[in-house]
Amino acid sequence: MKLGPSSVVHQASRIASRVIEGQAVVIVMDEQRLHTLNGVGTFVWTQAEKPVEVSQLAERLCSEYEVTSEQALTDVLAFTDELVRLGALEVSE
Amino acid sequence: MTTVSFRSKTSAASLIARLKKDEHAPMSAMIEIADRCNEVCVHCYQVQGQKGEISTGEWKTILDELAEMGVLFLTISGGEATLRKDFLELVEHARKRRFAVKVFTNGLTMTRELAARLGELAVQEVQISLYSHRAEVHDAITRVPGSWERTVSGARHLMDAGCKVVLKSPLMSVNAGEVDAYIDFVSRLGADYMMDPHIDPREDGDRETEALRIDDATYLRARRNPRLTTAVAKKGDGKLDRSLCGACSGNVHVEANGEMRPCTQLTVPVGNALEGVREAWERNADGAAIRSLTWAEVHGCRECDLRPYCSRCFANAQVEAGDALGPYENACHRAKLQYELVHGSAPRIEPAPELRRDGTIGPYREGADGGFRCIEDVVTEADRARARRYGWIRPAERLVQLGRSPSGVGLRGD
Repeated sequence: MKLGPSSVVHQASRIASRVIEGQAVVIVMDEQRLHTLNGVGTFVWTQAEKPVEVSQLAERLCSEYEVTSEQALTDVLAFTDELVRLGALEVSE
Repeated sequence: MTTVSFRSKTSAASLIARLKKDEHAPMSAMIEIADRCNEVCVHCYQVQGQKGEISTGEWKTILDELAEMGVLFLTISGGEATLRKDFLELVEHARKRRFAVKVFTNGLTMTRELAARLGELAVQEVQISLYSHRAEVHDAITRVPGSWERTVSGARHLMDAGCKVVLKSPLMSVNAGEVDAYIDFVSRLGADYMMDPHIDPREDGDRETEALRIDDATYLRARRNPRLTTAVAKKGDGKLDRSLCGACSGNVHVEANGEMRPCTQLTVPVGNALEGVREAWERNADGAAIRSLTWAEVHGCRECDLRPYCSRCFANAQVEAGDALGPYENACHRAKLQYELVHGSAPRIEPAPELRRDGTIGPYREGADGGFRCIEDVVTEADRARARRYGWIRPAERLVQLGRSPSGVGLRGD
């Protein structure tokens, strides 16, 4: 399922995660894979600790980083889509 | 406008090295939640029933603090961890705090229901002690009739629940002859396997378990078995400013009663988790001392030319030689075997009768002909001062076992 701006996402239950020195480390248990996110990715990741709309994530990104709203939404959509595909994020019903 | 790359992949080891500003900051923890076991394994290094166990609430507080400290990898062990009534509650709490959880168990109590719950909780791995593919051998080691059946059944339940299962065993004189049959059995079962060629003394200093150690030929065969190790034996760099092991560095170890130790083997209290894990980790004097130790602080070993082949252990040195920071027979012996694995033949060791050194224990100096000669184990005033300051280095009751130097310069010098 392709995500849209109104999709609601949250951190998946079958992951382990920590933020270390400003970078999130995420282990997707079912894949036994470990991923690290950079500062911006970590910002988005921590915002998704509780269910949040993708468009809200983009707005929050705009308020923290110098990025246009269009670009933020494009990037956040691509990023959250990838994390959903990896099993790190889940789409709320 | 900046377009950013959100994600990168890396191995756990390089990640830790890259991310942590403090190289000693803990990324992992082992909590031994139960001071009891339902097996009585002949080789076990633990002494059960003397430490006591802290409460569910206390463990949850400790887990919360470990999470806040940035610990990601958590191993829940015992004794037998599943004997605690709150075992699942603690695993649930740990997973709620986003730990990657490994469970060490003997599998005896692993019902289908318990396994299913661990699968739902997405534990990273369950490691189960299985000592042989043959029930009679396993049961003789655990001293619990029928334990093999229950353990294998527990492993099957876990795999049915989608858990990653690793079956593991130390190599002992009683099971080392059937390594390949063991691996075949475990592989057919669908699990992974681990076999460790080392047997340690008990944590109370009892050395009875050493009788179960495998002989040299078996050890070398195991280390050369490509099914047991994919790593080619290598010579280390032997640098004197290197840490000797990971004790007190990167891994927090908490006993069933909340006592923190440098590792599961070294019985030196380095704080009480109930009084604050971070406080102990950052401020305990013994912990800080252990963390800072390098090869340069280990008398004898620092002069030894077999050092690049050595994997000595503070705890074993303390038990074997009464001196955590000096040479001891088993480490020297293992270093010689490692030399043989690297070079294809054992090192030639020449005794030094004038020093009353028979070649069993180092230090050794390599000669121009490639042979090794025993040299004096020089203990400095700085070594003595360190031992006076940190009593655990040379527990009084075990002193002078290694006093082989006639000059009084060796350990008798204390």
